[in-house]
Amino acid sequence: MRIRKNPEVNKLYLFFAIVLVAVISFSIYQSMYILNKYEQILYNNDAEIISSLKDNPDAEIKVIKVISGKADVNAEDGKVILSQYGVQQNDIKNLSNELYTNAFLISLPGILAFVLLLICCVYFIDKQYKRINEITAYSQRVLQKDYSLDIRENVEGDISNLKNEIYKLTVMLREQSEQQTEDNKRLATALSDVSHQLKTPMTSLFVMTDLIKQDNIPKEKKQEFMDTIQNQLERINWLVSSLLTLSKLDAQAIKMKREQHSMAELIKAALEPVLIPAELKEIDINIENIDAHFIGDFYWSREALVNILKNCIEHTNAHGKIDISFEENRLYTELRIKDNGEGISKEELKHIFKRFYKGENAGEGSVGIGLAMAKAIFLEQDGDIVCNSKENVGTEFIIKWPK
Amino acid sequence: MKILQVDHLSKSYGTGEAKVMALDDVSFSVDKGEFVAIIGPSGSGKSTLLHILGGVDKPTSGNVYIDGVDIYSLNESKLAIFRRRQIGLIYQFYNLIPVLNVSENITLPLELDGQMTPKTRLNEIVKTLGLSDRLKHLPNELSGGQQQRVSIGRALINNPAIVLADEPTGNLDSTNSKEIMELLKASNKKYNQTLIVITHDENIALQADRIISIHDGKIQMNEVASCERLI
Repeated sequence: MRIRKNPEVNKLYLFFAIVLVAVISFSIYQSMYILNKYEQILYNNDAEIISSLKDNPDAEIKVIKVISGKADVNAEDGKVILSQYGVQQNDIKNLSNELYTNAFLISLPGILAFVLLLICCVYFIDKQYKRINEITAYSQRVLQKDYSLDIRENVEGDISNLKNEIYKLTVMLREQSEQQTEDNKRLATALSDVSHQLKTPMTSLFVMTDLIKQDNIPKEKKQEFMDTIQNQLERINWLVSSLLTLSKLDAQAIKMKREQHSMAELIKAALEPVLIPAELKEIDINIENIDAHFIGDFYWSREALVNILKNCIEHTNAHGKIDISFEENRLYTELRIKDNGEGISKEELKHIFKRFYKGENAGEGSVGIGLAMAKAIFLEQDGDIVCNSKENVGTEFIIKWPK
Repeated sequence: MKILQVDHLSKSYGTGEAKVMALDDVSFSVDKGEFVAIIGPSGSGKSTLLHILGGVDKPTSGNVYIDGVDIYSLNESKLAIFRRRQIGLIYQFYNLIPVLNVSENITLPLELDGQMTPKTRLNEIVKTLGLSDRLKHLPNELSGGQQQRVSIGRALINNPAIVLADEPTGNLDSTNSKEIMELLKASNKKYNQTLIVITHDENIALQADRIISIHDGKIQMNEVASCERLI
């Protein structure tokens, strides 16, 4: 039997065996003691009968009285007479031998009951160990990445609870392994996207350097090429540093601070780099004038907001407007940035926070990294950013920092 | 991954002339981690649907699969245990046990299951719900919003496969409603908790990933929540 491999089961069986021996010995001793008592009574009775026959005549009546226990007779006198004939307690009718052989039979029901109980116990223990073995077999299958089985049984009890919890673990493992496959695919696409993104400016750089190498080039042309080279290098620089940031965010290598800051200050800082392009397009930026605070990382939040504001300005026509409003309550601080630009189609809206996703109306040189980075930054602060939009009406970004 | 699948679900009350179809051949499915709102006017069958999803009312025909288990193929006692472990319910009127304190109310599903309460999970949940300093309070010492937060905790403590909420903000003022919805959404995000909310409030429904609208026991609309609410 497999369950005998369990030391605790062996201990239990040893204990059962000891108890069984003890019970058998005790019951034999007990029945012998009872038999001995019985013999005593019998011997006593015989002695009483003999004693009643002592002075004969009315013997018959007396014997009947003695047998029915109504006579007042002295057994001791009888015992003396019996001993005169050499009859002791042990010699009565050879009864003893017969009774002693039956002693075991008398204790049998007790022993039988105990053995039955033992069998029940063994059966029960065996069943529980089978359930545990089931869990082992299941875990082994999970280790082989076979997640198809379901061991939940929906009954009461600790083993059922254990199975239920193990099932939850399995589900978690399965999800993680699916996530991993997904991540691997994404990494592959991301890598090819990145190389593609780097290749475009690099091709342009090669062309420019080739052109500059020519001797008969006028000075102004040379200057123009140099400027283009500078621009492309800046683009590569921006791309590489953004990618670094993103990968750090992915690896959770950036520790976001949790400090209280004024909302107005954050917006002021975020608007700084976009004021000139906004002015060029004569976009009107309205900021709600209330006192609100958020708890989060100032530097990174600003970084993310700059990306969002850039996006808004890029996709808003000249003379458009951008409304910035915020709200603070017990649970979170909410910031809403709303433009009346070209909007985003329903289909595209699903993808705008995805890495390297470029919408149909994406600006020249757009890589599809700004919004993805913003999302990563807010998620890292336990917050979130969502976007509502309608084509030709406008787009609204809603950012939340929890408290 | 599909966590909930409803196949051709029908429920009728009464027979003959008086027969009422509360649900008429309803089919849909919900993915893990999704937040779905079910809307419809009163009497449309949305509460009946929620009760059937929650395993508290038997359908006349059709099947409900939660995490791959056909719940109405289970017998009464197994269904009760399944419900306890896999379904979290939030009601309009909180349904807290008045003689148990906040912490006891939250851990009730675990206690019933004979499980030990994982302290870290309890602490995390009460912290998220903002109930850390109210653990020893009785329900009648709490405001409506706080009581609803306790019932959210009770629904979440067991890591259920799905959380069903029946008009969770129906009894609350607008500030508390907003707070409760934010907490439900946070749990949906944080624990990837599948969430199904029944409501007749369109503003709440619009916060969901998907809206299922029910009229006269039939699904009228089942679509990804529109993103055009700013207009």
